[in-house]
Amino acid sequence: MDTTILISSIILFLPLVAFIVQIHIGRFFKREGDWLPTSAVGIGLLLSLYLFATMLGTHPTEHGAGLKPVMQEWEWIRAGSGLGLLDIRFGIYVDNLTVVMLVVVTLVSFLVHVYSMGYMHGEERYNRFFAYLGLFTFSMLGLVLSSNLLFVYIFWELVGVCSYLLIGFYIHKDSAAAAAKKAFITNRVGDLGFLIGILITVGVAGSTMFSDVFASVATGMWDNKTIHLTSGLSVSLLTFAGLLMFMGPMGKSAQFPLHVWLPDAMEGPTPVSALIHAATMVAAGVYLVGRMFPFFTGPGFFQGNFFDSPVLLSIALIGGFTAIMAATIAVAQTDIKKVLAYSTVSQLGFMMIGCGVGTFAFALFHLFTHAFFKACLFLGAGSVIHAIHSQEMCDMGGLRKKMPVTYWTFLISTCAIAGVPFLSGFYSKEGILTQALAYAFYHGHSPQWFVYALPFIFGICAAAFTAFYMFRIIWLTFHGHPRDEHKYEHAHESHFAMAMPLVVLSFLAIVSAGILPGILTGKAKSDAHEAKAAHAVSEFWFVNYISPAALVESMPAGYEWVGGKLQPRTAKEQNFLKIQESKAVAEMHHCHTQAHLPTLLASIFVASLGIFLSWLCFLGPWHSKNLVRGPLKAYHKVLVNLYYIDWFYLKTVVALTYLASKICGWFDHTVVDFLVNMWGWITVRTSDVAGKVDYYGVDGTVRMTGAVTLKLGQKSVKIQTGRVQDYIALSLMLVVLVLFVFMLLV
Amino acid sequence: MNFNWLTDIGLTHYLTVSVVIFSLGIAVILAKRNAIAILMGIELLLNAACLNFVAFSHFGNGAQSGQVVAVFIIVIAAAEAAVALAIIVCVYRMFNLIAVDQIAKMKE
Repeated sequence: MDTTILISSIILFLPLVAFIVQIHIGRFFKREGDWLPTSAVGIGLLLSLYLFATMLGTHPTEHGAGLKPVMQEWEWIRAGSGLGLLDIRFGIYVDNLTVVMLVVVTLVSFLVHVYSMGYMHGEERYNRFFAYLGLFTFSMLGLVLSSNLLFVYIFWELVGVCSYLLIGFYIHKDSAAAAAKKAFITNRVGDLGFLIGILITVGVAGSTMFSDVFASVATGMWDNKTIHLTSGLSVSLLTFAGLLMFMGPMGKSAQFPLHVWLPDAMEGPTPVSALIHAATMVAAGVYLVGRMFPFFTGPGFFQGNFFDSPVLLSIALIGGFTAIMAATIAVAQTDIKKVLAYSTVSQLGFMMIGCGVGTFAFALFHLFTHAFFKACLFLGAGSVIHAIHSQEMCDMGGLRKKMPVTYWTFLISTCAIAGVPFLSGFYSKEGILTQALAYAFYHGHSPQWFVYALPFIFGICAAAFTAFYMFRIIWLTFHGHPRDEHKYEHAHESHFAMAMPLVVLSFLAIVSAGILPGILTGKAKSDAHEAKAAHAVSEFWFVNYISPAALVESMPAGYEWVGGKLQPRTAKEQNFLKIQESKAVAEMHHCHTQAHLPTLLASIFVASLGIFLSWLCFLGPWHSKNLVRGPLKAYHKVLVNLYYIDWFYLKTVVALTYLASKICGWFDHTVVDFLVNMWGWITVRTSDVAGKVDYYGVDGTVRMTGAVTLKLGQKSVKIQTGRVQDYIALSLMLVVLVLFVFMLLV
Repeated sequence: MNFNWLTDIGLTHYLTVSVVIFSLGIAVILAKRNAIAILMGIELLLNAACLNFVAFSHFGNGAQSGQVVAVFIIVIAAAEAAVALAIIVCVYRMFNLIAVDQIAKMKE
């Protein structure tokens, strides 16, 4: 077995083992066993960092840099033969994308474990909480390590279950239970589409393995397949399957209209929020879009054209709308965790824009940087909540003096997410926006050019709002005067277990894009120069490792499973799996160059504008003017009501469900229960009759036999007098009788 | 009126006497409570039988076997009386009475 596979297996299965041990006997250990999942994930983190270092250490080639992808599969289900062969394998697949995800998941998860030791200290079911964290980590690791869609789906559902367990962790709270159900059910809607998408893919490609699916797209297995939705309206099956499959990420990554569960998920303990929002759950959707990027793009992908796919356009529009919608809602929230939740929804929208406009590398890079600063923000918010025992920002204010570590780490992360230059969030967001603008330029002479421009417009507005509402938290929580003197007096800085993750994460929020990449790009360039492949090296370190070319070239698509062994495909087949240089690529490159400077300036401008307005409204001169009661009253009301989306669902989906349930209940109560009761009545009557027959007929015969025998005995015992004379008289009578009978006969 | 049956003594007369004696014997056996009286009843039965044998022998085919049986019966009656009396003595010793209706040990 390959070393990489071995290491990945250890990373994957350690948390599972820890979970199994912890859930059963964890409470008997010292400190209720919290060290067990923590160390399991900690070891996973070290091994992931080793893989990451290996990835960074490899020499770039013409297909980009990084690990040579490896895959190991184990047979799981094998039935049938020939065309009807069902061959499902469990596989581990490791490439650059996987390694990056492994680092994100294990790092954030490990820090959340450590943080939870402080935050959850003394809580009920403390041991169980750590067991669930372990299972959550395992599910997410399984998701990123799976080599085929079916196992992605299995782990995808496991992630859903874990989120249910952890969001509803405070089981005694009704709101937590409701939020857990909401998360699970909303995700289920998306998962249904995902499953149908997978089934269509299996039907066409005959396999769920990523490389086989890509190969099916490349070799034209989807061509000329359309699906008729209504008369006159038909779409290509690939588009249809892609849109269905995107429903999965829509649910998990909280895209409009399935985003409603994520803010409610704040009912869970704060470390769980951090885990869900940064590394495990919502990342799954973006990861999947990235991993399945060639599938969503369609055959154009293999000509290097990522810009004409209807699926990707839908993804970009949904992402863009989600980004601006969530960002505006976040402005009106007063609960610090709710603001962060909507901020996550908004940032996920950014990632989807990135995927949609064709730069999934930057989308995943945003996921990577976002994981660090969002985890830091959540853990910082948790630290504040822990200190003042309230989530409402109206209870906070002036906390920067009391909680310096929390303040500074929170401020750094806020700057990162707001897009302050030279921090990680700036680079990733700017990368996405540049591509979005280039996308708009690329489609500039199309009649529907406005539709193609929407992702950028949404994105840039959302960026402004992001800066605005994030600094609103800073001003309201850490600056100004304490609004609740009593709570302020009792506030204190969190202890080491909670402060350490904050410092680590804020450090990463600074270096993960700005300083680290400077070093890495320099190194990659010098390496590439030696390898005479300098043209392949991007300016940006992350893109060297995660790129469309890398995604396909790295797939072991050059091999197929024959007779239990990996055999090379024919050269002709392999050729399909290479991305050809095309006109679209060159044109896009041109647009990208054009878009670079405007986006850079616009990004910096909107970020500064957001921060400035935020300062003006919440700390500065406009502070005393109550805007929400005055000119913005109507709009504020809409925002506080979350654009009436939850209300709309309550009135339509939920109300309809209740109505349907009532009708079903009525039917059940009157018709089904009547039939059942009638049947019961008939049975009782029949049994009654049968009982009577049994009692009087069968039992009667038995008892009568007994009674007759008894009576006969009682009668005949009187003959037995013991007196000789009676016996003599009796014998005599019998003799006479015999003689009489004899006489009669003769 | 023909009174021949009074003068012409035949088998029927003997048998009639025998039946009467036998019936008396039976009556004694069933009615009497004293064991010795019962023994006497038994003697009556034996004698009735004896008379039958002799009568049949006399009016029969001339063979004398009936006479012989009568002698046997007398002998047996004697022996029987001896044994029965001995039993009665035993019974008396055991129960201190010989009223057979009060002795119901055979029931047990």
